[in-house]
Amino acid sequence: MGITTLNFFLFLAIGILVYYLLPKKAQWVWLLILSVYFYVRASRTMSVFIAVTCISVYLLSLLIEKSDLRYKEELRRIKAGELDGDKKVIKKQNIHRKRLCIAASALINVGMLVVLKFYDLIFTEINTSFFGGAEGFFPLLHVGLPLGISFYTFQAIGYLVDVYRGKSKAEHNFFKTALFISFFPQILQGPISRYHQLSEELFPGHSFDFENLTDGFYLMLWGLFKKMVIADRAGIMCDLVFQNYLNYAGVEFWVALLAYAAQMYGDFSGGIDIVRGAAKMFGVHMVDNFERPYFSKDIPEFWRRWHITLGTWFKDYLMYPIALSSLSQSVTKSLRKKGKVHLGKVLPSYVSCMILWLANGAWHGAGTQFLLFGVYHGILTILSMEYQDRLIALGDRLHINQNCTSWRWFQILRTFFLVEIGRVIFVTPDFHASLIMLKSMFTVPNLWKLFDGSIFRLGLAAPDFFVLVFACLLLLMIEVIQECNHGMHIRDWLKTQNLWLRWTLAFGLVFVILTFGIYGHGYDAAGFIYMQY
Amino acid sequence: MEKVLEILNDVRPDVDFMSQTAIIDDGIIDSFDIISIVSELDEEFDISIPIHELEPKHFNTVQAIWELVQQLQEED
Repeated sequence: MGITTLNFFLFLAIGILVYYLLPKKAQWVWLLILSVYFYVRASRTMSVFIAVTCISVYLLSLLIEKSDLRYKEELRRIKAGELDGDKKVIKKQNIHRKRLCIAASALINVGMLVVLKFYDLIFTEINTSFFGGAEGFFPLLHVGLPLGISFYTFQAIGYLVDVYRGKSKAEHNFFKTALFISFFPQILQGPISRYHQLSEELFPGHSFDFENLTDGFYLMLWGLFKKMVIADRAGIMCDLVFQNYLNYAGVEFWVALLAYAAQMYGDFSGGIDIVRGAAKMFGVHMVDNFERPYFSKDIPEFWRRWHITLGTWFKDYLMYPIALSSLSQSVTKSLRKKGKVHLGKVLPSYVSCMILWLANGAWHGAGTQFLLFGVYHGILTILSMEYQDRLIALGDRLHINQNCTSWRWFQILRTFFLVEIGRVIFVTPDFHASLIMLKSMFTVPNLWKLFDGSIFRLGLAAPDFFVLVFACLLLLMIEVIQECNHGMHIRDWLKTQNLWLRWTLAFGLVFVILTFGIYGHGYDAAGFIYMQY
Repeated sequence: MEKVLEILNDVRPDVDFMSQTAIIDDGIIDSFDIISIVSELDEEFDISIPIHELEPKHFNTVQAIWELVQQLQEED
């Protein structure tokens, strides 16, 4: 049951109706029932993997809490003179016990993720390369990937680390932990929520509020527009061009790459809007995952505005622990002693940044191109941090006004260009194909193909192509308005307008989605790109 | 507190930290700056700032950072 299907909307309508008929105390139980039904219906026996995650994280969080309580009790007894011991020793023992729990969780949950995600891909490659066939020597698992495993695993581990750090309290009710991990709107493609934020939304219950319903409805409509009118339409062109890259050249790749920018953004941010809209109808506010990323002035800013919750997850649970570890600190001190002050200062940040980006690349997939994609963005981020000040100084020396609108647009276009080049690595079947495409993009001068009708032979005939262009322009216009008004929500503006305008716009959008949405077999929209991660 | 300010100015000389009330919330410093600042504070005051303390409330003002440093010194 995809989240753009009629079945899902029916499921949602029944879910909301029963939810508000129930007393507040029982509402979260109903959400759990809905989530379990949603997951088991989609995943069947594969549901066992999410069950293992829920059980392991629940038990380990309790063990961490128990360890903390033991530490506090021992500390109290030492202070009261009832126990003879060293405070530092018992503190270390506590940290050791808690770290064992984190290690066990990583072994179980990251282990499942890594094996299920990478085992078949890696051994198919090895078998094909060295043993003459996909199953030539090493047996493959053929298990497939459980729905949303990359998202719920990260969310579950984040919760456990928060309990370890004392940022969240361990949840004593197993079923509440299970709901936090499996909440159905977010299970497909995030956002990756934090326990202290989402638990406050899920568990207390909500009274019926018509505004939540309309807010959620508008958000879902906008998400459906981005997904079905823009992303799925652009996807037709991208699939054709990138899968048959030897048949195209030069400007055709540039056009397809622009379409890919629209597809990626429409697909993922549209999906997140649908997820957040569905949750909002239950009164559950979920964090946003996108903040108009194509308006970013540099690569680090782009990644602070694209897939925000994944970026902050990597930063909080991977980058900071590495950069601020005792090993990093001792390396810094040692370099300083040798007079390499600047290197000592930046090395922990840059090393942890590269590890973050390699992990980010691997999170997206097992192929070499995903790792290269990570390396590409890691290098760009480091270069941006290292040379930012020098570039600004160079601009000043060249008397370039770096505070005017035109310079800002130049920065936005520069960032967009760099992101798109990175996507060539990501979108092509392998690195060799990326090189062919990149070479063609910069060396084949066939601009005339923009005007001789060739672009209408890239999978989209003229009417569909223009629908895509106009839909993208509408999206761009809305985002420019938001960008110029500190991220205002159009739905907040709508609330201040007359009823006739609100309904005209809402029904107009429904009409546009029904008329111009791309439907596949059984009138389902295409699957979401991020669902496969 | 002057030493804290000195460290901040060393990491980001382009920012007037004393006039800021939302250094993190307004995105004035990024994660690379935070890593540098935390490393410097750890070194200077012989403390170990735990990752869970890397919260906006502890880094939004120079005063808040100074209070965190003092709190960690007392705990040690």
